[in-house]
Amino acid sequence: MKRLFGAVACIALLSAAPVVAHHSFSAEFDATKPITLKGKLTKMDWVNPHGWLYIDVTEPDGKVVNWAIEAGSPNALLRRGLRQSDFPIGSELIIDGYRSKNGTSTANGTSVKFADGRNFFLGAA
Amino acid sequence: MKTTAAVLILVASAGSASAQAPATATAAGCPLEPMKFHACALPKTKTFNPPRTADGRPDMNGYWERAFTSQDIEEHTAGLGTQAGPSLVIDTPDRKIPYQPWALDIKKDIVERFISPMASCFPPGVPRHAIAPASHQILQTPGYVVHLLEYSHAYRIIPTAAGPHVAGPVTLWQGDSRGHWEGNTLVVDVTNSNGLTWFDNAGNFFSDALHVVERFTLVDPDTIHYEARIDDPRVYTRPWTMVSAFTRNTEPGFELLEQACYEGNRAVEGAESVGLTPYPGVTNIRGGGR
Repeated sequence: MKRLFGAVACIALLSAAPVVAHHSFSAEFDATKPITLKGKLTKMDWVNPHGWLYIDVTEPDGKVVNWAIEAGSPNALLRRGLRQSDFPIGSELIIDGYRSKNGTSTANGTSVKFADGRNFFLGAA
Repeated sequence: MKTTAAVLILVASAGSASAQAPATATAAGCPLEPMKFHACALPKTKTFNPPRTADGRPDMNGYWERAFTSQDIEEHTAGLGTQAGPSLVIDTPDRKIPYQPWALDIKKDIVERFISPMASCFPPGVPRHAIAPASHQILQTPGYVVHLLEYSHAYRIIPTAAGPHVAGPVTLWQGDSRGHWEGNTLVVDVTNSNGLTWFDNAGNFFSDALHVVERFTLVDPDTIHYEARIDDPRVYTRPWTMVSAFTRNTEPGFELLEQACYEGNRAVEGAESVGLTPYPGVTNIRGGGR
């Protein structure tokens, strides 16, 4: 099975074009503020130019905060094999990313891990 | 079965930075570093007899991927969501853009002051069109070369047998392109830029006096050498040249997809929330009006 994963990885990498975002994230997001968010998906916007995931994150004091996480473009996600249906509402997700400079509960996502262990690249890059 | 394959790809490429890297480090047997590629590819174009269209022109029809991104056309290190890359500038001593001193001052903090024009889903402008995100398609018909870009449905229609440029003061996001064939090279003269676009996400800029001469030449059936001679006496101390390449996308069944860029664009809102304003063009920043 591992071998199969490797073979598929090679195909995926060979066909990967250097897809980089249409704008710089450093203007809006803070590279010095990485964040890991764990929560339940409340909404997935499959929209251009970037998709957005919204998750409810329970903070240590019990307060629930809805975070908005910027993802790659729908076409980039599609070509990575993702579909809108891969994001059912209520999914438990762990998302790595970088916080917004404006201090709101907004982040630029780099990877997402599903409860079943699937883990994939989320970014626009 | 299809779903299973998709899941496997997701797992296999998990969080992988390598998924962002160009697929190959060479094209047409030449290293994909702009200066080295230029030196290696140009001699090959002199001897390569390209496939031809029905009207006898070099056949560039098909899907293409840019060899370099428009993250920063000067040499840069990896950043937030971006990878390191070489300078595309090939003919200045330090391989930097030869800004006049006042322009270099503006460049220093331009991305902290202004919203990147492409973040607002505006067309990329020329020459950025050649290195802008997502896949490219070239369509040729007698008298025209059409260069499509998936991003924001941006396109260029380049007449190859047309008259002179449109007269001023008409200014355009993509500029006015007039092409002709010099042997196997498509040469495109571009004027009438509105000066409101950038070269890249790093805020490298020009004014509406920009004059670009592009050269597209097949090096082999699957590689195009791309060169853009940049002149803007308002902004630079001298004309300069940038080089990139296109490599053919040979993925079976590949096609360009819809990309209605403005649909859910929150980048402008995000940029405004940290104090950035729309880019007004360098002439306005300098206070000279337009």
